[in-house]
Amino acid sequence: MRESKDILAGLIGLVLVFIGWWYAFSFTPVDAQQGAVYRIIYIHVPAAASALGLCSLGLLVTSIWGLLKPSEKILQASRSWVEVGLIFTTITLLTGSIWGKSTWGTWWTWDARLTTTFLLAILLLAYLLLYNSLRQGKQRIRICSVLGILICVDVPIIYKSVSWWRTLHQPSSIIEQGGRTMDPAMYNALLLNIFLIAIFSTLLWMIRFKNLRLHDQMTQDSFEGVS
Amino acid sequence: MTTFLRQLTSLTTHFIRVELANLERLLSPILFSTTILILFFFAFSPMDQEVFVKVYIAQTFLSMFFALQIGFARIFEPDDQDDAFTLLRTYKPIPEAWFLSKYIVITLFGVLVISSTMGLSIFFNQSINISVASWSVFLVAILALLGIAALGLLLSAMMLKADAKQILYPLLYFPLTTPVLLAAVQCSQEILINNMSLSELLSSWLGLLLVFDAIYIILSTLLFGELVKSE
Amino acid sequence: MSPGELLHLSGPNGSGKTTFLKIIAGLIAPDKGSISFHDTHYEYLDSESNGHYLKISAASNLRFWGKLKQHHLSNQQLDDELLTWGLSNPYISQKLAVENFSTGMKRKLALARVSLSSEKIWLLDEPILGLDEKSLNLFSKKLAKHLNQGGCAVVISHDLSPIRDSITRTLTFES
Repeated sequence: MRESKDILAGLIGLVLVFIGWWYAFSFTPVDAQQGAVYRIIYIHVPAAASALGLCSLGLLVTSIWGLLKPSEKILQASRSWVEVGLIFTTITLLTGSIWGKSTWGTWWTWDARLTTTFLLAILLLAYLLLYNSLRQGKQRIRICSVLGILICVDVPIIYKSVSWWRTLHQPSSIIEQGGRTMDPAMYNALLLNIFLIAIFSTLLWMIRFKNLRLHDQMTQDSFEGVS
Repeated sequence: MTTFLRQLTSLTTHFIRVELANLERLLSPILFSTTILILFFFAFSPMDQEVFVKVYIAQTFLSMFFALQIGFARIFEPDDQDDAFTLLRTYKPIPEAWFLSKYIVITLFGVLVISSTMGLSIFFNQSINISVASWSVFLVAILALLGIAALGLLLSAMMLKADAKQILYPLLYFPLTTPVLLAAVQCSQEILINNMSLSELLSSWLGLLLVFDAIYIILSTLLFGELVKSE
Repeated sequence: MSPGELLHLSGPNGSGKTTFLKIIAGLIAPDKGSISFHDTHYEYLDSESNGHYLKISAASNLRFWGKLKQHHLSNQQLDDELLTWGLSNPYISQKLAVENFSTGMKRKLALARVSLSSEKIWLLDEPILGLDEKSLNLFSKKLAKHLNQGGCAVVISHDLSPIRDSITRTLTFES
């Protein structure tokens, strides 16, 4: 049954994520400056990598494809990347806030990753709003594909410009420094979690994409049933 | 090439005529930026001398960005009122000519908004010790306009048939133009506070601004073609 | 379609006539099938809009559309066309913004645009909406002249009276 396959896929994804966290919490040393709280990095950074990396790349590829060969199927694929990206931007922002509070004493800091993720979250929400405000058809596919490309091209530009702006005005945050001066065991655990979250994101995307296709098919079938 | 130039000329002159036929479209953003400037002034006054220049730059650029956003969002209104946009699609003009003609109009409009906003802001922010009037800062604002006008035009075309475009447009426009705002503000601060010249800034924020402009103009021209091409 | 043909699209509301016309006009892509053109230049008229720039005058609108298609319209041609449609008053044609026109006047201006165009193919969706009897007769004559000169047309019209004599073929859509 298709449903049980999807449930199984989701469960496998969750198990993988928990394996990653277990490894990170069990086999990595405590940070000398931040203590155990630094371990939120194993959720925060993989979530950011998924949102800013994998989901953005998925959105870019499906958007370009949407312009070259427009179809409802490819639009649903783009939309699924947007929704999964939104989940991981939210996780990135929440975990970033928690980490910032425990490290800096403030819930927010204008570091490049958090700022870019915040702007990306707004853009992804706006994508969904635009999607819902347009009528179904080739024009909607084109418009959403154009927006997808715009967002994906602009996000690295936003990241670099905020990063340079920060360099001029504020010292690098520990969040940014952390990657460069990491213990090898921490680094390996981080890479593992990035990889496992990427698999989980892809599984989430597949389930959501199937879900949207099924909804589309049901709508189509009910139209054809009308005499 | 001849067809391109001919279409560019007819479209540009036509769109300018259409804009001038309704002066409200030009006056409203200028009045809006004036109002925003006044509100900023009330919110920030009185100011310490050390933050005076930074606040002037923030006030001026934000007022311009808000006013330009209103103008950009409405650029296709004349084409949409009686669905002339759809009819224009059936005439199959060269998409680049169509985009450039609207871009020329929107940039001219933007120059007027920037000139009036900056002039007024300089007038409001007069100080005995510091002068904020600078042709270099004006040029930076114009360069910022070149990039955001291209993006603003593309977003406007995308949202022609969308519901709730009044809220959707700023939600997309402001985050996407953040790099331009950052670059323009940093350039202006370097010019007014650190007395840097434009040539010195070419290797930093001004250079970045030019790169952003190039990316936005090229991307917007290409993607506009995808939106208006016939099926 | 051949020169001189008038294809009438008929069928109940919602059967797809307008969609079909828009597919021919290149505004919508078909899900299946294809259309090939010997001549890809046509004049399109929508049922619900006229394609006018409402803040400028009738003459400015016509000149713009003519220029875009490189139809070199002289002032005399423009005046003559506006005269036939009853829009020749200089104030109405040169000064008054089109937004002040009545529904019928806007439609007549749109038909003037179609008539002035030298395109061989006319795609007209409910062209006679809002027209008075005199204008209906005028449209009928203009259409007949277009077909006699080797043009062809695809027309959607629930009122057959102005086009009945010119119809050569009918395509009926079912729900």
